[in-house]
Amino acid sequence: MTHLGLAALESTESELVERHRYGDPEAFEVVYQRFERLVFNLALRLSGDPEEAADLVQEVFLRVYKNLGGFRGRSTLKTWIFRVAVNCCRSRLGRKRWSRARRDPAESLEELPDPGRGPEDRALVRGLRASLEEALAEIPLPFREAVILRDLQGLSYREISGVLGVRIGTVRSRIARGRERLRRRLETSEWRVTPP
Amino acid sequence: MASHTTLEQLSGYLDRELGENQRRAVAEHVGECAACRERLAGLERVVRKLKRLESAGVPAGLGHLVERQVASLRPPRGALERLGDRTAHGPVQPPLLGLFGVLLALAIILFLFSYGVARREADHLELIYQRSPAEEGVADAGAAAAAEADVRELAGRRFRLVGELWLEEGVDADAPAWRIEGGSPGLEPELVAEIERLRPLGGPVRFRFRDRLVEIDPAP
Repeated sequence: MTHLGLAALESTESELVERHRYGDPEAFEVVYQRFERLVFNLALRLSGDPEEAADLVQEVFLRVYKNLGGFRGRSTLKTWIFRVAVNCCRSRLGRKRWSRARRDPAESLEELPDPGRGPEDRALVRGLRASLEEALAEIPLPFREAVILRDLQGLSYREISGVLGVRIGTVRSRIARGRERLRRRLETSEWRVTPP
Repeated sequence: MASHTTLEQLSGYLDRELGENQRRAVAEHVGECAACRERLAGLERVVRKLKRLESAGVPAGLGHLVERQVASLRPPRGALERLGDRTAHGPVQPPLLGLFGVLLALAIILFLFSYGVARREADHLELIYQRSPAEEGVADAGAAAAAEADVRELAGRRFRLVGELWLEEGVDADAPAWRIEGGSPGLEPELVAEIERLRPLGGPVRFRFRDRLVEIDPAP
């Protein structure tokens, strides 16, 4: 992707959609740069596999490119793109039966920098993280989606409702039950560590 | 709140997604119920751990992969678009491009104008040099001759101006003719009368008189 100027990056969503509609390739580049990391992390947490997440990112943004011209602004661009991403992940889950991390969780942590900790702390934290990622991969997909969108992506209940296509009450229920499952999974498998 | 809070209420309370009344009720109950307080703390621990999961960096080259796939969806760029790219970013600057456009437009206008002028001139020349019906061999000589500005009907005859000579229709301009100059004595009265009738032509006339060709300048 090319380097974009500040003016391009500050374009509003409606401006980007309009420009894309009229064939401006830079508009899609701006969209991609805005949402690339968010979509990758969403795909990574849903799939548990960085390689699959990279494939998903390509698939998601191809769909975004094809359909961006039809975006009518009834939701935010973020909500719409996340909806595309969740649907892509669900489709792949149906084909590949993902329910667990496909690689050793410890290996998947290579991309997660933690420069502020010493080696012992990093090893300790790595252990905790492995448990959390394992636990996250083990909870049912509907709960996993809701928890990731809320606690990792920071979406509101209303936004999650738009992404998942369910009512806000259902969103609240899935988040609550997903967190409870994680709590039980983590509290039965980890040592509680208190730093010195 | 008499009974314990539900899991959804605790989770919603944690996220500040409850209505004001419900939030107040949960806060009050949690303050009084150790079990619900512990459940809420458990949810808080999970959320803290989740938020400590750092955002992963995007693998290098992923953007290029996406760009390649998207490029395959784009229609091929036409020559004008490629020219637009070059002029937008190349050595030909937009002001020069605008000047070029203006010059091109002026050239087109001048071409059309000169073409129009040339057509009008050609039409005019064609009018001036239009041949007589006798020379052209046109069947409807009378109608064509009448349309000419240098044709006149006088004394029941038609005359055409050829150079400075009025030539009666059907008369050969180069054939031998009796030349009569003003004041010639002994002219037949009928000839004199004919000459008088042709005087309005205002110049030399070649006409047929009985079986002779006569050329005379009836002007005084």
